[in-house]
Amino acid sequence: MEADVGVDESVDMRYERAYGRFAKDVFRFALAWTNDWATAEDLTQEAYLRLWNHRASIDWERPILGWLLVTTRRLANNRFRSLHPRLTAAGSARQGDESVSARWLDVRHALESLTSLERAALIMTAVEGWSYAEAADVLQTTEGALRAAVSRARQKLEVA
Amino acid sequence: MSDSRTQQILNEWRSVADAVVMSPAPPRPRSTAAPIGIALTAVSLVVIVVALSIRGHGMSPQGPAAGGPGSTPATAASSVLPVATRSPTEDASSQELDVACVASQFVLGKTTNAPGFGTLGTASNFVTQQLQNVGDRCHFNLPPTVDVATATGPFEPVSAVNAGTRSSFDVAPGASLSMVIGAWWQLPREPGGTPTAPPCGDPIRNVTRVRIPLESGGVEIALGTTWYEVCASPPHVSLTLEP
Repeated sequence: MEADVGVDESVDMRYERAYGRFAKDVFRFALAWTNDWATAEDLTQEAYLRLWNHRASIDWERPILGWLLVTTRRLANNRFRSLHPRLTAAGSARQGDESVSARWLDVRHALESLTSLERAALIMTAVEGWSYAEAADVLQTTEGALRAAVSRARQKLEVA
Repeated sequence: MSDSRTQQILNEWRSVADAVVMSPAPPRPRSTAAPIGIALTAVSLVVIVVALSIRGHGMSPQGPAAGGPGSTPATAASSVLPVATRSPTEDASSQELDVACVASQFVLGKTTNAPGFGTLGTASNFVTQQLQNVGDRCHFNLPPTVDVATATGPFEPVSAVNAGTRSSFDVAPGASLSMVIGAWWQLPREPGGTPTAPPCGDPIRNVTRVRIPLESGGVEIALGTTWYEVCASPPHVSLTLEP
């Protein structure tokens, strides 16, 4: 799942490669966590800017995706709400047609009853294919708590 | 299988999330994008200013301050924003165009509606309305409220959440906007069912029409369906604007 960067690869190339390989994963995680398309786009941009700022000191041999996701979650929780104006053009990564947009509103509404942890835990494990242990690591919780969150999420969605 | 509804939602989530289109280039702060270029520009400007001074070509008092080496390059260098990815349309709307759209310059296009999933005893519905600008170029600002009405009743304002990614658009002559208007409501209780608290004090029932207020007048839309119950507040209606 991680980039197998070579030792001779420049830091800039590693950064670009990390973007090409993981940008969508970061976006999808941000979307799962926030349930908000525009915020997920902004968080993705901000997470990569953090990676850029740390590109010289970061250990590129360690899993970059995990670093990006943890950074994204921290940004979403602690700081991002205060960042204005938006860091990215809202239209830069938008759905191409109205049917997608309407479907997104529908999905978003369906998932609104879940907490961020429940939503991210469910999507990471059931959609993105992460193991419970991997997802718990990124979400910085225990595997037991993650399993409970997934279970609660399923119950909430099935009750309706 | 009791998981069918969850799986349906997750499948839809996967499908919609797959539609995202990421910018092909990774974000980079401006400050690191062209430091050498900025330095060279600054040096060049200093040389030009000095040369002009020596040759007695005096400059206006504001010249060096406004365009000299200490102003623009320093601002650019201190910025931490990523390289701009705004569209020309958006730039134009924010910098040049301040003529608000009026209702009379729009004609209604196709209207479609689709039910949502609904959750926990609720239902939802999404109406997509095409609006074509038959007037001059204008700026369409998404309103914080919309007016709703029954088939024969008066319009009443209700809060509307912006569920999209932008709150305004520059609309060219002849161009069309697509507006998605969503609403959710609690399902009616069955006789003998468990009572639930009403969603708000005085909900508006059987809504079939929506009016989008603009600078002058409003665009009235027939939903083609009935929204059982809409609250003025908290918001039960969402708006999404697409170019």
